[in-house]
Amino acid sequence: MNTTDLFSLLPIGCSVGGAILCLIPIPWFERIVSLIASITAFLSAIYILVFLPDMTNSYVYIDGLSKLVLFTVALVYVSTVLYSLTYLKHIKNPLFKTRLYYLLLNVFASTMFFSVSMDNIGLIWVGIEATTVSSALLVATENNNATIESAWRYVIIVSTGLVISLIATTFIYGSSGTLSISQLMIYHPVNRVFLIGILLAIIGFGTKAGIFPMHTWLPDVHGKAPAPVSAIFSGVLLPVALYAMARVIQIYPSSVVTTFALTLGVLTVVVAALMMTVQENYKRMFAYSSMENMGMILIGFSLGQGGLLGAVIIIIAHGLAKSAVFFFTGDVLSTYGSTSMGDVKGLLGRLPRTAGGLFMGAMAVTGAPPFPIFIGELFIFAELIRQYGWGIAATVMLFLAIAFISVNFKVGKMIFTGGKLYPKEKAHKATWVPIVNLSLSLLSLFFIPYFEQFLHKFLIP
Amino acid sequence: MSIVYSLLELLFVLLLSPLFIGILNTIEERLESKQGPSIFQPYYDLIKLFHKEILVPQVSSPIYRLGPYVVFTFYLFLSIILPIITAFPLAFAPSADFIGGGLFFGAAAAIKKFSAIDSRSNYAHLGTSRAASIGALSEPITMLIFIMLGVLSNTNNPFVINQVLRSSSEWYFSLLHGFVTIAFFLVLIIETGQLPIESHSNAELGMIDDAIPFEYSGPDLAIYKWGTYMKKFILMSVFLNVYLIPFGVATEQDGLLGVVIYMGIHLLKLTGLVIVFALINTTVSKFRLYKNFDFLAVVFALAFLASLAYYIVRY
Amino acid sequence: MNYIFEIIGFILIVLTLLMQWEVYVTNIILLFSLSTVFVSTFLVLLGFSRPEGNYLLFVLAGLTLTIRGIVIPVIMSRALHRLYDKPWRVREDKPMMGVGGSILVSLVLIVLGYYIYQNSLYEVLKIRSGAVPFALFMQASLLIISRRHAYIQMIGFLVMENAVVMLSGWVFSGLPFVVEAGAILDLLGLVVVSSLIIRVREQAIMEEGESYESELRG
Repeated sequence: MNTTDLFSLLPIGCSVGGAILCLIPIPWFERIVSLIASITAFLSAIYILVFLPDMTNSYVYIDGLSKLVLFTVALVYVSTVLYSLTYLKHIKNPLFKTRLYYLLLNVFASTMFFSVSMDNIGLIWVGIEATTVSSALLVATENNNATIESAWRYVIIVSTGLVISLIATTFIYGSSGTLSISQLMIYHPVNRVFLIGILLAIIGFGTKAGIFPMHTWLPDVHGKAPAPVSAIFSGVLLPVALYAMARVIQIYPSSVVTTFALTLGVLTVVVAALMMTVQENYKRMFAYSSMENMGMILIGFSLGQGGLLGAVIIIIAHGLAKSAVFFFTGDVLSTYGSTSMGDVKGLLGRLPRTAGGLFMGAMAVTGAPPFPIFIGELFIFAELIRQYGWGIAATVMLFLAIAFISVNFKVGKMIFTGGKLYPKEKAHKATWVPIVNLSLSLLSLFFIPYFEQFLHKFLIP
Repeated sequence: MSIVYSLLELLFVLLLSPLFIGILNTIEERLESKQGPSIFQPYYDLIKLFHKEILVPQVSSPIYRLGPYVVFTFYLFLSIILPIITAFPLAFAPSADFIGGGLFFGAAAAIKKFSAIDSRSNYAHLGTSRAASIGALSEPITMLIFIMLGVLSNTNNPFVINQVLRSSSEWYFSLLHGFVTIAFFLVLIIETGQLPIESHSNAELGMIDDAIPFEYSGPDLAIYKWGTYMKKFILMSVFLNVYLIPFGVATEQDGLLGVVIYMGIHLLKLTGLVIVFALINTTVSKFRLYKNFDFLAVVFALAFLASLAYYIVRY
Repeated sequence: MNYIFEIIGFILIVLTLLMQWEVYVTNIILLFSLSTVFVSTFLVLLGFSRPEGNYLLFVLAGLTLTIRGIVIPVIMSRALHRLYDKPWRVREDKPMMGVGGSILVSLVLIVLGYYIYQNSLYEVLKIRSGAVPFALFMQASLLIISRRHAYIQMIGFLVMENAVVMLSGWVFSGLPFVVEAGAILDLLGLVVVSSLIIRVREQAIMEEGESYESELRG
């Protein structure tokens, strides 16, 4: 590999370097190192995005889709590190020292970078399994019983799903003799074993992405994990698993596969929207909102062409907006001390910046215009109507509307009722991070034509 | 000529069955560094029992007295139809095949239990109910084992099965045969009442088969015990001759001398099996009562896996 | 070679059945490392039977034996020793169904696994004995579902991975070495991380007496 090829591995290298350097026991050193590592990873991701041509050699496969996802991962990584700098002191009774937290965060980011750039489906599997390993302890940062229970459920359910993916990888390898995405895109066998392998891979990776019916770990984990961890989960971990599913669908876009993925996506949206209406815990509610957006992304991937563009728009915009929302909920939790929506009142008077941000974020995440998630959903609906007619599209629109109403109603109740119940407090130091994220999410609206350029080769009908 | 063989087989089983139980007891005691009884002790016990008086409970019916004799007759019948000393069917062998043999064992067990219940004694009821619940599970397992082994040779004839296993090493080393042998060995432990199912003490907490003849006395008890010895002997012989070591059993060409020589070899084979039982008895401890049913579930699973192995491999 | 695969496959099924019978956690860990020994024996024999003398298979077998067969059970029993003061007495306290029932359900699942394989993949793959890893997979999922103790769930997951190794090794020509090695290392990391989580979880369950499913919802 020549030196320009090595640039593609730079984000992985930065975050791994940051992780190793975190081991040095100088106080405050790990935060500085993580910050530097995340910023350098971000810069290299920008370089890859803008300057690196689409490349593939025997290990790495980088094309428009992976560049965009890489960029999103890096961006959310930076914002999570920035937010964790000041959030960690709010966690009472942590399970391990902050040095281990930053180490795990860097390793987690590096495994996600790894999963997105690899050419070999087996290596993608290894990367996603490694994300489970490194994030399991992050979920359990706060040492109380329910959190540990949710961490254990996460480990077991996701690992079982990934074993199904491993079986799928075995089928794919056995029937086609190769696991390389670049070769499989050119030619793939059309027999039944390969088809079953692709379907099983969708199910297996779908467990990691929170697709119905394997989503049961998602609300538990998001309800109990600390805010930065929830942010990075919803923002990038779920899309990375969906990236793997997208590659698999792209390899074999037969009607069976796309119908299967479409059905799963629609069911995910339906279930998420229904469950959102009865939630009392705001973090769980936003977890179901993530699940709904993941369902929309899956629908987009399964449709292809215009739907693919919409899905990528949602990935980028949702990554930024949802991480911002979870950062805001971290603020709310550290101020009010409770995750139940009934206990949170008068947010507007107490933390006006957070309240405004949370309101905007909730609108953004559920797909209100002019936020780009709305535009992405429009693209997906256009493709859905073109390929499948009005029936399914109307159903999905109905459930999205249900989700929109329930989330915004509950958030509005948190923010606007209560009046002057509490005096105005000083905003938290890191509240500017989610505000930046949210504005970036809005600004990405203007970059949609550039996204289309990146994904050009997929959009040709 | 084959009537002579049948008579020889009958006398073989009748006269030598108490010997092996005696050998088992003695070896167990010797393994525990005790002197133990002499190997002929069961004979002395039987002879002693024949001299004692019979006491019959007032509330019992004639079934109570008839029971041991009927069971004894069943076992006598079984000893001349199963392959114990010969590899070829004798005069009465066509009366019942393998499954028929299994059903006869079941019938004998049922009659034992009926006559024991008839004595209206609490201990007999205890033993009968426990033996019945274990038997309800172990009898179908025995049936399954016999049927699965019959798949080998497409017949249910134990003699043909013996021949097939002796001549074809492919069947002998197959998975089906392995599973069935292990399952039958475990069933043998259950049926002959060795540890870990049943110990030889009279502790009420775990007595299963020892509690059934609690009320019998005198010659009735002697016949009952002799029947039990014969059952154990027959089952062990069937295990060895058909399942585990089908080699060397006397065939038609060997003549009378060959059959007699084989009787000696068979005694050695049985002694080997008895030593294995003694080793097991002195190493494991008794299961608590409800664990017996889990053990039976495992045995059933093994017998079932034999059928699965057959379907996967052969069909 | 077919014969050896069947024998080892059925031995693994019987060992997993015995795991269903066992209630004590240390015995289950022992049974698991015994079954891993059989899996690595199978890999070694597979390496011998391949004409091109694929030495990577031997390395993989050695890796499986050391990491999955020795290191992971040692880590788990060390964690058990640290958590409980009488580790040999640790067992599944509140089983969801009795031992006999779970053995029978396990048998039903084996038949189901065989049926599914027979009707779907057999026509394509034409290998009869591929049903054995499927049956093993379903048995392992029963182990995970029917037990509440976290160590036993972990062992169930590891048995599932063993079944996948058997499937890929026999029915197909195996996965590339990089992927398999990566899988093994991932497993190691998973077990290390899970030991920590399980330790805290079981401590909490020991103190309070039940797990916190209801508190998760609120």
